Amino acid sequence: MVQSLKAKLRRLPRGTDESPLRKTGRTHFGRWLVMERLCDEDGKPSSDELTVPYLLFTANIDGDEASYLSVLVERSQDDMHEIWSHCIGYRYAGDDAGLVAYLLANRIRTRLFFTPYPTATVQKVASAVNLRKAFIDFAVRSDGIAAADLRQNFFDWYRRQPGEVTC
Amino acid sequence: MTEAPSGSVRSNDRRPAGETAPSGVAGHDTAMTLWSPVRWWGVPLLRLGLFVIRHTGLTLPMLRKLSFIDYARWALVKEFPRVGEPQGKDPRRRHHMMFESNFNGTWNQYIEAFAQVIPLNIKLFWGSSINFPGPLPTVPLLAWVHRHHFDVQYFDTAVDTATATVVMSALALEEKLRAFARDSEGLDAEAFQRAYHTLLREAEKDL
Repeated sequence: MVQSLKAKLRRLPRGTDESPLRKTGRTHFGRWLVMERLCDEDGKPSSDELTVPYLLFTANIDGDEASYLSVLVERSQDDMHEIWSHCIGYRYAGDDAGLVAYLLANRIRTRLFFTPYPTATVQKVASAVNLRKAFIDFAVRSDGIAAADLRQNFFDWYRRQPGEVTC
Repeated sequence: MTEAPSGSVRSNDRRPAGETAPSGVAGHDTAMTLWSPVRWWGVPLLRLGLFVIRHTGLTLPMLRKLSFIDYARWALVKEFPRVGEPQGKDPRRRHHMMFESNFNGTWNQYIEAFAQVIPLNIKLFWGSSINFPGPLPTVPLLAWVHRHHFDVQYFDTAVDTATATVVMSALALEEKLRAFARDSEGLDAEAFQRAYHTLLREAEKDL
């Protein structure tokens, strides 16, 4: 069962628009990993044992957990049900809301979270990165041109930029 | 879990033949997940310390100095959520600190930078973890990290073409461009050109 789950996770698309995490439009980062044992540092019996393996899913997201999980399950229904069907307590085939409730009931509380850009959404990050690249290209092309052309070219370029950039 | 240098913990996570890309890497980002056992006296200290940092922002400016970190997360875990049989009753287990982070670069670079830039924070977070060797020197620290790290089977990021530093620069540049476009619209060509060159100087570190 564990090997089947690991194989399923490794087969998931990533780095493309087919990635189940990218399909949500709200995932900055996300991961799945299987924990089969904890590292025993002191040799004392049972202090670090796991009775069963655990599947850990973590994600940095925009918005609240409940609506995020609903979107994740809805947009990658088959994959999400197949992944969590490997887990004890899963009995939600065809029941997206049930799966979301199951996931919410199995959360671990984060005590401290740090990110250097806490208020930027996924869309804002993506558009800012694209805008930066576009402006670098513009600045290189515009080096040394006449003042009148520079002004016209800048505003022509600026008004063509997609997203939140408006003039 | 990765194999410790001493061989005391062996990984059964064998990557299938043909899979060459590490699953813990997406674009510029590397994923790290650590679970470390915490001594009993460390639990209330960690709860207090993490609470204080969370509500005062203390030490976060130091974390921002590590500009290659996309994020970091800390959790204290005693019991896993119960779903019923055949999960079984967990033995009496000590608390574990879960630490998770994404960063740009290699593990060695990340751990060494952490240890050298914020050694006191490292001691706060992991000083009560069993057999924690301390932030410096970094060789035993790296070995300890490897013992407690879990390989990911799947990791993805929304924008894998940009490092954390680039994202911060891009967000800062966007604000500057908005302000510039708004403030320069009424300028004649000569004044616009001067303002544009000022923008380039001020935004140089963001480009």
